[in-house]
Amino acid sequence: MIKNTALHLLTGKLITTSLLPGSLFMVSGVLIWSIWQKQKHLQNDTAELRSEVKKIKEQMDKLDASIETNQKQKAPDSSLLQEDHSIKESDEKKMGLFEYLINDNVKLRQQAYGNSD
Amino acid sequence: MATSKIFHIGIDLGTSQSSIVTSTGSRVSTKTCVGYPKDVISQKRLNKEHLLGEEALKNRLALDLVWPLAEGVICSDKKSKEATQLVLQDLITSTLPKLGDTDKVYAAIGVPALASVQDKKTIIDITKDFIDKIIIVSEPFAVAYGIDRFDECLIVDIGAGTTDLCRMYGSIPTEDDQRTLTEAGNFLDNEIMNAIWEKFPDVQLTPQIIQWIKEKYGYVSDNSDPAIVTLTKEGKPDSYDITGILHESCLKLSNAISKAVQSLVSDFDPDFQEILRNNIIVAGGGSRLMGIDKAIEKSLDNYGGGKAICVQDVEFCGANGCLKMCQEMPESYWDKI
Repeated sequence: MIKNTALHLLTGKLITTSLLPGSLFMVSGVLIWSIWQKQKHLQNDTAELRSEVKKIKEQMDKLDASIETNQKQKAPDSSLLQEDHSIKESDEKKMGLFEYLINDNVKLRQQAYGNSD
Repeated sequence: MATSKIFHIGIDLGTSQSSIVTSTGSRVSTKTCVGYPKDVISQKRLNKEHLLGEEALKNRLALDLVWPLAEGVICSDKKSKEATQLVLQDLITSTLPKLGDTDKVYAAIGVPALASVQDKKTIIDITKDFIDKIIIVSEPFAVAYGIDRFDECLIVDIGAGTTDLCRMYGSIPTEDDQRTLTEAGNFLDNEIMNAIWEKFPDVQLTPQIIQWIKEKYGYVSDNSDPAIVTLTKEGKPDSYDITGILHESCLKLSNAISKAVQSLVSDFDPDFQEILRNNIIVAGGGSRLMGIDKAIEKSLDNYGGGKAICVQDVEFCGANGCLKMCQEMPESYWDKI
């Protein structure tokens, strides 16, 4: 029994002392490799993202330019003020149209039925 | 307790084709016709009291077809009124299937520019059971509203029963700003049919064949591919070249429209005639006629030239305008009717 235990301990120690540095080296190697791989992926992703951001920026610039051109075409002077004004004006125009339209339809009912229905 | 919802709808009730667009995003277009079974056998085969639209056309041999609108307005007989009611009801139920008992339907419906009070009253009467509030608008005005054109422009809406023209200049058009012509799609169909029969007597023609020919080959431009169609004579099919007669028939329509355009331009405020000439918008089924925009432009050469464009969404542009009007109309205005 004592002999067996001693043998086990001896074998275990022998294995640990001879294999531990090798396995440690291997594990750390794998770890470094995987970190390096992840970093490589990260770098690729970052580069891809950068190029996407660059493209979006370019598109945004183009869009801004076209909006600016459109605004200039719509309203040559003080574009913002002019545009606000035109929206208001079109709303007022619409309200006027609605009022006429409704009155016309009320009148139609009066003509057709002889009362306001 | 169920909450009541308001559904807005825009309807273009046309002589040949009717369209609906709803605030739920549905849209449907159908032939404005109703078919009633001719006899007991057809009633048993079809198993329905009536068929509508395309389904009625497909089964037309077993049906008495009713086209309830003539020249853009509902015919005065009882059958036509009932048929129009069925068409409108079907359009609404097919686009608003989840309509609850407490829900409300607010509608704008387009009619020819110069429809009479009686014509408009008929529409109100036949829709009162299924539309809660209805406003009636001139069809070309609805087209203009749909494409946001309130400023100087001239709308030419070529329908089947009538061609409606309307000058827009930022306010409601008066009677003087509008023209309604009977030279429209059905007029062209008759012209084509008579011209073919004159040149090729005894050739077998039906309104459906003529409509197909018109839609496939109709043109008013100076050049076109030859229009060679297969028609039957005493049951025997043969090829017939109708290029020339088709062109002449189509020109009869475009010339009448051009004349009305010239008239609306020439009696407009001279300071704004040029803007009007350069902002002509062609809508309706007739805008599909090849070269119609160019023909109108050409007719204005002596007036200093012009620019005409055809609308994109031909089938629904009138209904779209009606829906837009419904949705943008403040509730307080609806309360007045």
